[in-house]
Amino acid sequence: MKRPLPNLLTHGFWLALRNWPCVVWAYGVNLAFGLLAGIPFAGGLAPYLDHSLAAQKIAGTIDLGYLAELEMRLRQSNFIPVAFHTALWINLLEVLVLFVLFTGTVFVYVSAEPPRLSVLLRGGVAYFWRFVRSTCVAACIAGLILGVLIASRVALLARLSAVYVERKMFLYSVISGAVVLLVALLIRLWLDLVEVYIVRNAVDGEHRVRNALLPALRLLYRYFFRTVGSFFLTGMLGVSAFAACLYLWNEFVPAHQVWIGFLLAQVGLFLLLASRFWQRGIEVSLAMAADPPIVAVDEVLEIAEEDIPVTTGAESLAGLSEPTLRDLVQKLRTEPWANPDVLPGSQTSRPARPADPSRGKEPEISPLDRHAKKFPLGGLSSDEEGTPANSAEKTRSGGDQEIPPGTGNKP
Amino acid sequence: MPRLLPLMLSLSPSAIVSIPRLCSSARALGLLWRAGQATAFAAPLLLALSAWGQVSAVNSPDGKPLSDRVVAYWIDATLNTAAKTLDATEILEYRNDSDQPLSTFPFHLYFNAFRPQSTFSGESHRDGTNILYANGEQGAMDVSSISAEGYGDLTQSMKFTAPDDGNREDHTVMEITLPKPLAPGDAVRFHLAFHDKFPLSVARNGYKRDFIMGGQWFPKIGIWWHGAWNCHQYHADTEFFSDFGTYNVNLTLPQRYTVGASGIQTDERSNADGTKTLSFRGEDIHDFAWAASPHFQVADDSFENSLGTVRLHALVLASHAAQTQRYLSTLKQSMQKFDEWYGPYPYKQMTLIDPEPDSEIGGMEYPTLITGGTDWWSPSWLPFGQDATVAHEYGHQYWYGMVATNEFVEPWLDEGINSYSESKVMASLFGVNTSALNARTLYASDAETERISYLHRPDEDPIARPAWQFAGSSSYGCIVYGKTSTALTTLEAVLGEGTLRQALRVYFTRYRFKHPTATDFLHTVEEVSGRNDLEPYFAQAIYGTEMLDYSVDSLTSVPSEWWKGKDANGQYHTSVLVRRKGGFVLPVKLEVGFDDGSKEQATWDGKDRWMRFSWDKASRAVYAQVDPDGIVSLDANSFNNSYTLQPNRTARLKLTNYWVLAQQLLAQWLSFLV
Repeated sequence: MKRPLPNLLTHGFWLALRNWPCVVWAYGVNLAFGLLAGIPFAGGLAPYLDHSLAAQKIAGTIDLGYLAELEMRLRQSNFIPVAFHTALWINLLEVLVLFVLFTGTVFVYVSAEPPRLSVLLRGGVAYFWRFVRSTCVAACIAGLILGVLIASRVALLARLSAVYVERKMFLYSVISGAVVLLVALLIRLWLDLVEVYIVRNAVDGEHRVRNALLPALRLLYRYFFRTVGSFFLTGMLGVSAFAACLYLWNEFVPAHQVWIGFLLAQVGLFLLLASRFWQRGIEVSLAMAADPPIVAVDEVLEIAEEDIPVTTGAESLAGLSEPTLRDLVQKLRTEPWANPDVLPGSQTSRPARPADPSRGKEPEISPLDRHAKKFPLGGLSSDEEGTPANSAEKTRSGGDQEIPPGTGNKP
Repeated sequence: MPRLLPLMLSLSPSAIVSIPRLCSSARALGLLWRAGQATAFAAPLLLALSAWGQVSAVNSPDGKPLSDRVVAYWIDATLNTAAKTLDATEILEYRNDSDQPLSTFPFHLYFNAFRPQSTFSGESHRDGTNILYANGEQGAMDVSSISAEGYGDLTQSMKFTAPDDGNREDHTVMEITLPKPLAPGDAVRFHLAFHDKFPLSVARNGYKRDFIMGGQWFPKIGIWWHGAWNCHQYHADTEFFSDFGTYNVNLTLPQRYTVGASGIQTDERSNADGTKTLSFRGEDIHDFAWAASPHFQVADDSFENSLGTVRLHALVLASHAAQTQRYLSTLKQSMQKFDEWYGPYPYKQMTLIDPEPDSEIGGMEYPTLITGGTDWWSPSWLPFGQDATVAHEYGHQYWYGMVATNEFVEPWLDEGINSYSESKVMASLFGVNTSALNARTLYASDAETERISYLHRPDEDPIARPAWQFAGSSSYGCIVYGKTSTALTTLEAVLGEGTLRQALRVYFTRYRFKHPTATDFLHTVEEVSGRNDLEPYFAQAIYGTEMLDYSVDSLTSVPSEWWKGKDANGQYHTSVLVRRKGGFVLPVKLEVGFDDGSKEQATWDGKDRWMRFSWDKASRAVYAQVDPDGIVSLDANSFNNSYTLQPNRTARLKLTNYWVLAQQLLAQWLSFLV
């Protein structure tokens, strides 16, 4: 039985909006690295353009002949290797940084940690290798599926081209290309959900990447149309906003107005990037609503039985790989079956956290509390989840339709 | 073998020779020829037919042949559209127009080039184009028999030759030897039977899907030129060279096919086996080509010139139906410009073929027939594609079709002059600056595209060089098309547009239906312009490889009494150092602009390596520029032609903006992937 879901679009949007620093940081990185790549490029152009009247043929509406000649001049110098190699390395570095930021963003969205840069980075670093592993798995699967699809497409188009030409052939080419793109995007969506599950499973004490693969697939399968629809809609909105900015630049900005063009392009790029965070918000909203994390009783007991001293808040936050779980376990050791919402005593019974400058004036509440407060997504209420016997029974029974997909993976 | 042959054999040799020339009533001749009903009593009828109802393919002002018709072909061909093969018989009457007896006769067998062993394929491979001939994709031309009237069977004397590179496997040139020489002024009639296998479209030829292009599809005799046979092998970059004459062609093929061909169609007959036979006649042309497709849609129009009406016969593929009127419009406008500038088009028909998409057929010229090239979406703001192709290929009706220069040995005389003509026509039709591209944020002229082509290989080969002796296909294209056009644009700047146009008109009028050389062209330019100082320019631009590059090396504008400090007496000393960076010497103009709006100009003969110019004025210099009018297109670097004292960073920032945007977008895309 499917859980009732909130409106993914609005919840995803608000989740992204509440955590707006994530977008801003990512855009800042995108802009900074872009400008960095522009430095050698601009420097290489200066000797040719700054003092030449021929540059006027490029400054306004561009004379393609002069642009082509400039390209030839640049190719004869060391401009191409310098500008392109610099851009290559800068792009690779930027992709790495953005990867960490996106990883941190998923952590922030799932854990409801404050979206500070330090949290983003620590979350990003903590989950980095697990995300890398999931990306590698997805790349292998994508390579297999898309390889077959692309080969089939090439063979199909070769056959069709023996009969059809021009407009019809173009349509067939576009349609078959769209099918491949659609499948590629579905794989990307699945990978997004896998990444959400990786963080979400950590709350449940599950750290293995492979145990995030099938739950993500099941979730995608169960809520296919809503998820895919929301994913594509936000993606289309982002691309449309970017295209609209380029259109405005092209149509209404005079050719020599470089700064207005720059601003419009940046607005477009920001909106394009923001749509990606919106997509992440949708995916987290979906996973947390349809399959909220439930702490494994067995694991909690296991941890509780270990002779582990109750750690302080600072210690628990030292490694962000599983802070939510550790934090929760500490709470549950002192108030084993307490519902954090209805048992404020749990806070008092815990050792007080020493002041942590990185956490600022964060209220001392558990990640689950914070999560429930920040995005009440429906599904099981805190009260329902707070019934440990039921949870344990459901977890162990395994065949109950009410059990969310994520819990079925636990031993 | 044509069915008329028994009839011809029954006549006296002189009558045999005279029949094709006398019997120019192609329709009547074709009917008799195909019917196979000709008997001895038909001979007088044939001769009588020749006296009336003459169907001529040209608008000759006095009814006389326009060219010295050295050859006459009668070809009866049957096309197998499924197997992409053709079986034909050919009668070739050749008149010894030389002043010496001839005993050997070379023939071009171009289709044999489309095999991996050929010189064409080897050179293409060398230049980076790997033509892979899968099963059924090779071309071939097999001559099964050849005989000559009065000389008997010559099949045994056939041998392949390779006059250019000695490649014995080339097979694009065949030679036969007569038992006794053909005396000057005498004619000989060869009878050939041959089989063609069309290649998958390559080098403007062959088939693609059910479209078949018949170019260079029959054994064609070489040309006796300047005291020797000129019959070169088919190379990767060579084109064609032949004698003028008449062509009578019958083509049998399935009913559903539509055919466009050189000359005019004289007859169409349905056959009992579901095929049809089309008859064509071409006069005063030096090649014959056709194209067949079941998807052609015919659109006719007409053009009036001083010699009469020209029928415009466009065969456009159904998938390009929307482009039909654009094809015809550009063709008519091009005809108008060529007629106005150079002279009239004397043929009765101009056929335009729309080639199959995704094929290697593309734009190509044949006498009275051109192939264009378009796409279903071809936008009107991009005339560089479809319109430029039509203008270019039509221009070849003048520079190749009528002024039939040797495309093997002097390719620049047709492709180069024609590229220049194309850029002039395109500029007149679509704007001087926007004749290639006219988008909102970008524009380009056709002449600029030629110049950019030249700049890719500015000094690799001289313009005047045999086509197969260029460093490679790239150099051939950049020099023959791009540099020639750019050199003529620069020459136009030197002589004046009207003078060069008049020179081309005289050249066309004087050498149409002839085979002129580079010397004829250059002498005509000198003669018409009245300039006897052009030799250095021709030597450098046409025969040399030196680069033309002038630059403003430095510009200073300081107080005249600089030792007294800034603006001591309000006078400024402006100094400009102009340098000749290349070996090409050409007088250039220098212009210096001052901050009070005034300008100073000076001329430099450019002979020294550098020259310093200076002015003392009450205003400071703003810029210095060589070639301020931008007319020396051969100058290889436009960006060093000027120098401004104050930098202007707009262009740099604009391009950097594009670059930053591209990098940001790329990074976002990559981060989406991972």
